[in-house]
Amino acid sequence: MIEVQGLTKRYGDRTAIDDLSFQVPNGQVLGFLGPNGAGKSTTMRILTGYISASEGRASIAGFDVFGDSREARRRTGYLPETTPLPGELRVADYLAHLCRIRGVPPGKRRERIDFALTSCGLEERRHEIIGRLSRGLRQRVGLAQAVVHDPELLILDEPTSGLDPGQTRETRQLIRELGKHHTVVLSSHILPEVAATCERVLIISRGRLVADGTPNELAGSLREGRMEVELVVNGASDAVRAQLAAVKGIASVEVSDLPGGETHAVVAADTDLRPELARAVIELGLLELRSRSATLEDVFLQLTTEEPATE
Amino acid sequence: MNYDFIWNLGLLNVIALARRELHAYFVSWIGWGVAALLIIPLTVFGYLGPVILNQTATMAQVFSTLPILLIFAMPLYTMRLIAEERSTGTLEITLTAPVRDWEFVLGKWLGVVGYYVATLVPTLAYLLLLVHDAAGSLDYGSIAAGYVGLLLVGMAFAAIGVLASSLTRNQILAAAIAWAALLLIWALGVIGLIAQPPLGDVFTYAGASNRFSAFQQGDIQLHDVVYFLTIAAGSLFLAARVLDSRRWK
Repeated sequence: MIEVQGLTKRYGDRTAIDDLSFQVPNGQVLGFLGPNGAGKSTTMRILTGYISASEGRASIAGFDVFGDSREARRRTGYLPETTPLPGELRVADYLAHLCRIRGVPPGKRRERIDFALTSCGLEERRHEIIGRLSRGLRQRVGLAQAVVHDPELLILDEPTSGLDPGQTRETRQLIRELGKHHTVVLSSHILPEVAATCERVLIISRGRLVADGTPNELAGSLREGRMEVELVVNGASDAVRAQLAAVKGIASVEVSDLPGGETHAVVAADTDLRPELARAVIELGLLELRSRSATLEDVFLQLTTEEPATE
Repeated sequence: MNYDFIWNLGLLNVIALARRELHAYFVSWIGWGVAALLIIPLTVFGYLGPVILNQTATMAQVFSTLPILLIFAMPLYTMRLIAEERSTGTLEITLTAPVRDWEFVLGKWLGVVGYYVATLVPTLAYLLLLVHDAAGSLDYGSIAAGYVGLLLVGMAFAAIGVLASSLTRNQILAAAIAWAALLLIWALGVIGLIAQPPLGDVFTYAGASNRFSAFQQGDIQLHDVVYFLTIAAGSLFLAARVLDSRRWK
């Protein structure tokens, strides 16, 4: 569905995205993950034809986003980051206008508008003025405008930013539903969002692609070679530290006090030390022990906070 | 011919965008406010003064008053067209729709020209009253020419306003740019009348006011028509280029 090859965008001296290449197959729900300013929005704006790239190629459904921009855009639905909507229009009138400028034949418009309203839970808001809707409902209108012309591809830039937790969950649910019928690319700097909605994650940092895989694969790749064990012990931190110091093979220990005289420890090691650790603190009172798997968050932090490698 | 073929020509998009703008004027205070700003002085200076007070059966004052008012009113109509979409961000949705830049610009322009024409409709009331009171002494030819002139001036002014609105996200600034540009091209014609040749000829050639007065006198000259259409087309072309330039920044 999407082919991106060597995409680069420079603003003067600043390189917003740097030699980005990836493919997205039909029907995939892809998460574009990165800290603010990593180049997510820039990439999306290039894919939607809003801006051009300095170098490289990109195509949507076989249509070049520069050379065949109009055909590519016709097959794309886009929700910009701030969900900009015309406040003075009624919901259905706005969708009808978009059908007209996006080449939906007159005979299909009613059906498409009904579909967009129904799938975004807006049937009862059809005649309401967009400017008077709540933030959550506006977000749904934003998604409805993206799907109303039945695009093959949906590009959603930070679709849940600025929503309260209830609205966020609602919007994620909606995106999952839409993902059944469309290829979806969404960007986020919120990790659980990507883990919850996406089959595949691209992590981008300083304009470069630094990781590509399923959320589980990415988390797994970090766990290799090192293992972390988390302990909660009923005892003072000094005592816990002393006991753990006797165990051989520990690479690092982090100890912190918990309320109620309990101590929390994170032990990293190259081998599985769980039995030894348990034995070491059992006299003090072992309350919890579990091996900690790397989360997407760990991968994200590791990949995006590293200093760029010198070339 | 199927729908895709017709849609690809682009005219359907232009009409859809114009319709959307027209609607925006009819539901906004600025649409009605500016229309009132035009119609009230026009009625006083164009009709009540000459016709009721001086008992002259003429539309000439309507035609001479309106362009002056329009210099101030048109930028108020056009300032929001692109600047507002830029500042609210809706431009990003509109321009990532399969709309070509020229379709977008032309649609916006057609919308404001449509609203301008709608604001002119009440002036037909003066005409009807004149026809009722003094049918015999009316010069229908120059009235028709006057309306053609008003339409052309409106088209040119609207295009300059669209261009000004494409340059900034600040609506007030967009209006100010348009005011400056309109005052300038209008004034060139006035300067042309008093300046010495050959400079005077240049001003006369570039100015709008002197060309418009030809229409008022019932004189439709091809070169004057071409002048106003060229301003309109040139401004719209530039506005489309300005929009396109965002891609390369």
